[in-house]
Amino acid sequence: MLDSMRKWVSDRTGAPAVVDRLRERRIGSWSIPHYVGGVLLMLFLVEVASGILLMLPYRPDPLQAHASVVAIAGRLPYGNLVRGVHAWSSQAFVAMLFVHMALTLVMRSYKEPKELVWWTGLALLLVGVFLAFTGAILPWSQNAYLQARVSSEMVGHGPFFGQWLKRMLRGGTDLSPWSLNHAYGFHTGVLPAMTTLLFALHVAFVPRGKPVEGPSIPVYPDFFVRLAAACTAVLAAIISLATFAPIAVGTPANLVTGATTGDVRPPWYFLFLHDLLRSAPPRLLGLESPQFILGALSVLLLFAAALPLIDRRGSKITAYVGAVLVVVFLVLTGHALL
Amino acid sequence: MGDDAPKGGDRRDFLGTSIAGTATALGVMSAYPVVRFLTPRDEASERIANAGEAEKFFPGTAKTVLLGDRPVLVIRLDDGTFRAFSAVCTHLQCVVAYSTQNKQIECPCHRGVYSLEGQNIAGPPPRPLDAFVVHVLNGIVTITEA
Amino acid sequence: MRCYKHKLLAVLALALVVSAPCSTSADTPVAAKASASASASASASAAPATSGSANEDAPKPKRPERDLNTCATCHLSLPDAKLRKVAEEFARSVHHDERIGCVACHKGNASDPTVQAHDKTAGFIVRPTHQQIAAICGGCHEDPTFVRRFNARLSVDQRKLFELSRHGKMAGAGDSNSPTCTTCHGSHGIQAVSSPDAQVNKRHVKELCAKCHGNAEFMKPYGLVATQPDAWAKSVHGKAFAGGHDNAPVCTGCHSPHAGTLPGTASVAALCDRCHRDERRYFLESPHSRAFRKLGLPDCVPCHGDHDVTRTSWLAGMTPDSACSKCHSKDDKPKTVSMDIARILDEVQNAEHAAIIDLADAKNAGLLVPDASYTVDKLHTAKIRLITTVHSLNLQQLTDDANQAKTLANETKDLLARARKDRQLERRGYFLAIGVASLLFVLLVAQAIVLAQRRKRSEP
Repeated sequence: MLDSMRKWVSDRTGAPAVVDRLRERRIGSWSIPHYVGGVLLMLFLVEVASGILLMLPYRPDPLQAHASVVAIAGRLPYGNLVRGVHAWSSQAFVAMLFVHMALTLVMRSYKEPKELVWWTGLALLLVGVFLAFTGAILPWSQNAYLQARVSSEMVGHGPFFGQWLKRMLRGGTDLSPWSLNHAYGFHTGVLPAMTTLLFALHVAFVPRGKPVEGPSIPVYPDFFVRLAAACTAVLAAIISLATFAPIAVGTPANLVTGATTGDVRPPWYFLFLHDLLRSAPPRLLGLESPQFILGALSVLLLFAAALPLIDRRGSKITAYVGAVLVVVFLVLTGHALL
Repeated sequence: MGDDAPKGGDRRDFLGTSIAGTATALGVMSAYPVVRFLTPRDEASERIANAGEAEKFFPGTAKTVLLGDRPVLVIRLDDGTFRAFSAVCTHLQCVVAYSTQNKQIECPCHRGVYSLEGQNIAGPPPRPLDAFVVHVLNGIVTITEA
Repeated sequence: MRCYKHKLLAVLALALVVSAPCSTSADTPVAAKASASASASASASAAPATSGSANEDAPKPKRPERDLNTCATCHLSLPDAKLRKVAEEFARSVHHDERIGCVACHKGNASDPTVQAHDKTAGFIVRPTHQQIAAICGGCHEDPTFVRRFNARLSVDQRKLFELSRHGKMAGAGDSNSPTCTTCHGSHGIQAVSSPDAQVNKRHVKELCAKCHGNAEFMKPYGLVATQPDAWAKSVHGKAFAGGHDNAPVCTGCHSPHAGTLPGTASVAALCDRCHRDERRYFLESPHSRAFRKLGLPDCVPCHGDHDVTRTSWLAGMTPDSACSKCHSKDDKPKTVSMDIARILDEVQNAEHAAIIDLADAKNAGLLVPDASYTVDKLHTAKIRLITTVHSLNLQQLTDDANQAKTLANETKDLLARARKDRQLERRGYFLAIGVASLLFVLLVAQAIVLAQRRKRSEP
C-alpha cells in the first residue's frame, strides 16, 4: 500500500528526481557543522510554528502586552508549554548559531568555493541575534523594557549606521510605545522573512560536484536519518525544559517608578559585551568605551566577512585566532555571570 | 527504495515502518496541545453590571449595558418595573433593540420580534431571549445573572 | 603560506587604524553635525546642548543697603558656645529671613551693633516669660497680611485655638508646666512642619506629646493617666503608622494640634468618621446608635477603645473578651444576633485565609493563575466590606454579603483545582510524549547503524 502511495506521488511530482539527487550528494559522515545546521533549521521551523501560535493571543500594545503574556502562560490551555518551547528554542538557536559559526571558522570552511555560504551564514548570525533580541522585548516586563532601552542605546554607539539603526529599532529617538510595535513587526515579519530567504540561499549556495574529503555519507537516506535522530533528541530536551523550567513572566514594565535595580543583566549571548562595558575605562583611544567596543566588534565582523578574500587557502592562523576568540567570549561570559 | 539489494529486507522494512509510525504518533501527540491552545473556552466574565440611577431611568425606555462582554437590554416598563434580557438575538446573534413605539423588542437584521417577556413571537428567531435579574440597590439599577 | 599570514596581519592592523577615526565621527555632539550618515535631529536629541547657558542676562537680586541683623554678626563670633548656638540655630531655621530677624520676637534695635541693643528700657526682651510667648508668636502669626507674605498656605488661627484649649488656659494662668508655642515648636531652630527635622513633624509627634502625656509623675497633679501614647503605639493606628502608612493618624490626627480637643466636640468619636465614614453610617442606622445615646455613651469608643484600638476580630460573639458581652449577657435576641455575627465573620475570615494559602501554594508550585489572584483580591474586598457593614447589625444584609464572599472563595478553590489538574494532565502527556520520542530516537539510531553497515558492505 505504501508503494502505491509512493507511485501516486512520484507520478505527479518531481520528487523521485530530487531524492536521487540527494542520494548522490554526499556530506562528511561526522561533519558537525552540517548536523548543527540541520538542527538550526528544525529549531527555526519550531520557532515559526510556536511563534505563530503565540501571535494569536499576544497584544503588542505596551499597556496590554504583559497582561496578554500572563494570560497566555496562566489561562490558555498549554499556553505555558507553547511559550516555553518558543523561549527555550530561541536559547538553543542562538547557542547553536555561535557553535556553528565557531566551528566553520576554525575548520576554515569559508574558503573557496564556499564564500557565498559563509557570507549568508554571517548574515544569518546577525539576523538570528536580532530575532532573539527583538523577541526578548515583547513581554514588556520591567526587565524586558530595561533591556530594550540599554541594548538599543548600545546599538546607537555603533560606527556609521549606529544612530540610524537605533532609530529603526526604537521607532523614534527615544524608547516609546512605538518601540514595542517596531520590535513586534521586526520579530514576526521582517526578520523571519529574511531568515527564510537567507536559509534558502545558504543551503543553495553550497557548491556541488566537489568531492568530499574523508569518509562521507549520502544526504538521503543516511544524513537525513542521523539528522532526524539529532533533531528528536534536541526537541525532547526543549520540551523537557519547557515543561520543568518555565521562564518567568516578570513584573509589568513600569516606566515611571520602575528604577533599575541591581541585578539587571542582558541575555547570556550579550553577557560578554556586558562584561566589557563594566570593566572598560570610560574612554579608550579617545572614544567613549561603548563606541570603542562596538567599533571593535564591527571591525571584527568586517574582518570575518573579508576572510574568504584575504585568506584564500585557509591558513592555520585563522583557526588559532578563531579559537582564541571563542575562549575570550567564554571567559568574558563566565566572568559576567559571577 | 527498491534498487538496493534487500539484505535483511524484512528488518529494514520493519524499521522504516516503525519509524514512520512512531513519527506519526509523535506528530499527532504534538497536535493535541496545539489544538487545545487554539480553541480555548471563554473564562467566566463579570457577573454584575449597573445601568445607572433608577431615578434617571424613565419608564417606557430601555438601555443596553455590558455584563462583561455580553450586551444586556434593560427595559423599564410603563408600570415602573424592570426587565433585563440578553441583547443577542437567538437567530444569528445580531444585537436587538427595544422599540418604544411598538413596545416590543426587535431585531433589525432579519426582522425578528420578541415580546416584553423575551418570548420570540415573530420572525426567524428560534428561541426566547435569556433573562437576567434586575435589582435596585442603593438607587442604582443592578443586573446580575439569573 | 607565509605571505598570506603577513597579509592577514597587515589588513587587520590597517582596518583598526582606519575604523577608529570613522567611529569617532558617529556619535559625539559636535562631530555628529558634520557626519554624513547621522542626521541632525538624531544628534540634537542624543546629546544635551553644550554651548553656553542662557542665564547670563537675568537680573541679579538686590542687596539690602543696611545690614538689618547686627545681632547675628555679634552673636556668631562670641566665645560662649551657648550664646553662639542661638544664632546658629536661627540661621538654619524657617524664620531666617531679613524681614523677620531676631527683633521680631526680642524687639530692641537691630541696627545698633553695640551691646546697647540689649537695652530693656528700649523694649528689648531677653527671655520672654512662659505667658508672654503666645502673644509674641501671635504678633506675626495672627496677622494674615504679614504671614501670607512668606507662606500663602499658613493658617492664622493657631493662637486663638490655643487660648481656647486647656493647654492655653493653663499657660495663660501661669502654669509653666503647661506647654506653649515654644514647648513643641522650639524657639530658635524652628523648622517647617513638613521638614523631617521639625520637632512637630508627624514622625515625631508621639515622642513630643509623650514627653508630658507619657510621664505618669508629670500628669498626676492634673489627674490624668499617662498611658495614652504607649497605648496608641500598640494600636492598629500606631502600628500602621510605624509600618509606613503615612495616612494613619498620630496624636494630632484626632486631637487638634493647637486646640487639644476641638471646641464643641463631645467626644473623640465624632472624629472617627473622618476616615471610617461607612462604619459610622452603618452604626447610625443600627439599634446601637439610639441605645448609646440613651445611655450617654459616646459612639465607637465603648467597643473599640480610643487610644488602644486593636484588631477587632474578637469583638463579636459572647466570649468573656468580646465587646458584646460587656452589655448583653442575659438578653436573648442580642445574644443570638451577636453569635450569628461572630459565626459569619469567622466563616468569611477562614474562607479568605484558606484561599490566600491555597493561592500561595499554587504560586510556589510554579502555577501562574491570574484569574485566581483576581478572585482572591475580590474576596479580600468582600471581607472588608463585610466588616464595615457589620456595624449595621442587619443580619440579612450580612448573610448576603457573606454568601457573596463565600462564592468568591469557592470560585478561587475551583480555579486553583482546575489549574492543578491541568498541570497534572500536562505532565502525564509530557511523559508519554518523551517516551514516544525516545522510542523514535532509538529507532532512528538503529536505522542509521543499519544504513552504515549496508554502506560498508557495498562500498569497500
